[in-house]
Amino acid sequence: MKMMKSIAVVLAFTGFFPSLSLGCSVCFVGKEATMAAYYGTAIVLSLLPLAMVGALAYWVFRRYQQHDSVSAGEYLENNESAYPKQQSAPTQ
Amino acid sequence: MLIGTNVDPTRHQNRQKPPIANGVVGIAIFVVTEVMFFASLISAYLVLRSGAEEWPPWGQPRLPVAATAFNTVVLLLSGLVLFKAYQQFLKPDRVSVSRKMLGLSILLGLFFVLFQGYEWIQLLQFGLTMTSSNYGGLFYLIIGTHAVHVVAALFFLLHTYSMLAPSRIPQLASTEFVVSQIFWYFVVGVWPILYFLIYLV
Amino acid sequence: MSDTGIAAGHAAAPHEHHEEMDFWSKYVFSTDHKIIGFQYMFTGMFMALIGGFMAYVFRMQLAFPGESVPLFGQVTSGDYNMLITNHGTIMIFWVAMPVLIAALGNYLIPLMLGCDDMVFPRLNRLSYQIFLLSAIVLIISFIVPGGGFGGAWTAYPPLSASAEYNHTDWGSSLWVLAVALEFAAFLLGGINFLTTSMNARAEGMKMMDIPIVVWMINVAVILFMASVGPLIAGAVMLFLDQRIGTSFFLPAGGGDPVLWQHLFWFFGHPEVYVVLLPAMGVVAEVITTFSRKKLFGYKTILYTTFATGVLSFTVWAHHQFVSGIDPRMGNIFAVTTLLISIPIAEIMFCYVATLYGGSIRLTTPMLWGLSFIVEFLLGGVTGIYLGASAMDVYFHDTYFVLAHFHYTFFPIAIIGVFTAVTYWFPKMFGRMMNETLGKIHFWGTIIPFNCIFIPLFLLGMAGQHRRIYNYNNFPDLATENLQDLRVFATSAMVIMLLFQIPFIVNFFYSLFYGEKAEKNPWKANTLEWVAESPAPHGNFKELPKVYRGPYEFSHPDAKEDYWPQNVPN
Repeated sequence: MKMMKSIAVVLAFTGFFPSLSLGCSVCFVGKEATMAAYYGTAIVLSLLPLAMVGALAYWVFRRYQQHDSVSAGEYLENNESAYPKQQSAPTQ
Repeated sequence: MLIGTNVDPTRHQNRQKPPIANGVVGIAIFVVTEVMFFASLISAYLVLRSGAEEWPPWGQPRLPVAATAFNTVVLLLSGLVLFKAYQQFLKPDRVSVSRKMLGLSILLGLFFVLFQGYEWIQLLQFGLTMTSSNYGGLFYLIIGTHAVHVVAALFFLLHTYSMLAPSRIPQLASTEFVVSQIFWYFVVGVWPILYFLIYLV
Repeated sequence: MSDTGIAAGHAAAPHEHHEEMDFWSKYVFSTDHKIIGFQYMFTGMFMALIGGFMAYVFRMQLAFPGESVPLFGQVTSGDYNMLITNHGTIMIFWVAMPVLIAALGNYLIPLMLGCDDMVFPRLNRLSYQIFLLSAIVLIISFIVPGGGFGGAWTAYPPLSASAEYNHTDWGSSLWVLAVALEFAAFLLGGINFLTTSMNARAEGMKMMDIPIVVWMINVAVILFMASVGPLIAGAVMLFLDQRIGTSFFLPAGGGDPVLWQHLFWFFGHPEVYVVLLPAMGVVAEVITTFSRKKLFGYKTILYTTFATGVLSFTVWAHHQFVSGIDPRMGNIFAVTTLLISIPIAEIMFCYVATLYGGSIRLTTPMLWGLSFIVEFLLGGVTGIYLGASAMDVYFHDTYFVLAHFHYTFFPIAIIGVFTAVTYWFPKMFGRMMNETLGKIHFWGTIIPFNCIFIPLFLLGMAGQHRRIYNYNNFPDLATENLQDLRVFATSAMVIMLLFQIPFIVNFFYSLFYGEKAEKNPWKANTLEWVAESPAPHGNFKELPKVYRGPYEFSHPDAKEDYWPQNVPN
């Protein structure tokens, strides 16, 4: 709850009172439309790589899971004696 | 004494045959970079467009929306044919059919590029050049970049096509087929977005 | 296979693909990941000499304005601009990137993962060749008519976009071309690194058995791959502005110069983490080995590295607080900038916790590793001041910023590289480096380094603006006490440069006459120490199997205080 409150405060300041951070004389140059375009493209450009890399990572993760379960099954079917042999293999 | 807890004997198959082939991993990462590249070109387009007084600027030719709509369909069709070609490839003994469909897909892609080139010649004659305005500059930059990618992807597909020749072993081409497919889908998939933003809106 | 006389002489010994190669195919057109790593490393070190010399020239100009600089001569304002621009460009793009990512990645990834080479060796060779071409293009840009590009390493338009403004028609175009070529080279290298790490790991090596440095190089590569697109797009547009005459960034033709800043910094800020993460990884390896203690919080370090990666995409506009961006955006970016210091601090705490209670050995690599933590901490803490948008308005483009990012980049690019080189030298060249010379070099570098940049913090707080050729033109900044600080910083810098001589002597002497190194001189656990020193072509006699994580030091079940990953029990 406390966290929600602090998030609300941060959002209120960043979203609704932007003029509080107007410390410089050169801020607010350009048209309103340009600023909106920057705003939108900045959000898209920030989130796009995260989404793509996340999706890719999830896909890889799934492929590895599937691969592991499939190959484990095959392995035991084809060569059941290999497992215990492996366990006692190299002792030095 | 700790043997067997850490080592999983089934893992050593990983060494021979990884779950995702090397080429597929490579192209997937490359496509991420390419998507960001196009995303930033589109961002540049949106920003510069929003700053312009009038878009398209006064006295500049309009883009051929209808002709390009037809061309868009051709490109999408090419992607669809490629998808069907790969489905045929996965079935036993359908490699020659798959190869023919792949060839069709390449021809459709080639038609797309040539038609674009023809459009460009027309537009240049009407006075839309890279330096005539930012409108022209962005058009040639973005569409030209896409065209370069189409040509590169067509070379990829041609390589796969040659690997599917009857004298060769088709199984060797399986990774190449997937790799060239991913790249072609990327090229095809990015086009409707460009068409929508640059021609339509 | 090979019918040359040399190979025939060895025909009795069975060797499959280890036939004798002539000099060119062995060292110049090699596809061996180690040789390519060395090529990157030596090219990077050569460029570092050029970049260091440039720093020397412009520091001398600042301390003694208008006087002739030894070894260079009179510095004109055009020379000065060209020197600061190319110092920045070279040090970041042609020293930090090739040495930390390309050289270390190439050398370490296959060795640490226990495979014989990269999965795409030819792509790897092509990557180096394009990189070399980019370095040559950059060097050519210094000598074309008009001289090298002088619009600062960030290349803000309109200054960089039109020869009318920058007076370096060819220099600026070649600069853009060189940068673009370099990124093409690293793209190819990056694809290789990720694919190798995913598909060519040693038998039994699970995700959580991969050494931290390999993880960090891979996260860095992902950051690079996902962020480089905008910069390449920007570079293409800038090049078109310069050569074709478009006006994407020129306000006169309806362009927007701030657009370049967004595209540049969208890459430019993740880039900081791209070079930081490999250096942090190297430090992790060194610290755990010389504390003889398991790395504290392997998974914590890993997950905070991912968190750094995620956050690094959302901070770039803090470079533009005074560029006229939307203040709402400024607020958000100030918050994310402050947030990103948390994961990095967490990694630092893990390193310190690794040291706690360990039996620390102060070898040269360990000294470098420890100094990385201290110096980078200073850089990171001063970054928090700059990340707060309200303070940045005052500090922007002063020497405070300059000192801040030198306190981050120096630990990354110089300390990180020296840590890596002194630590892996035995594996790279099969001989040990001299410890005494190494320590002289260490103290001779670290003390003057602080003497250079602490005065620059003070100058920055006094309001000294960056990129100014001669402060005598600004009465407020030309006072005697400020000039004294400049002279002090410059003298420290010359001393630091002179103390690099012991390193160069040590490096080349040890390369040929150093004490022979055994396989595992530091008694470390990771797989590269299983290979012979120096690692031969093909790396391992038989591919190693992995039984445990990479940092099992002083484990109660082990016979000795280290427990290599490949030893069954």
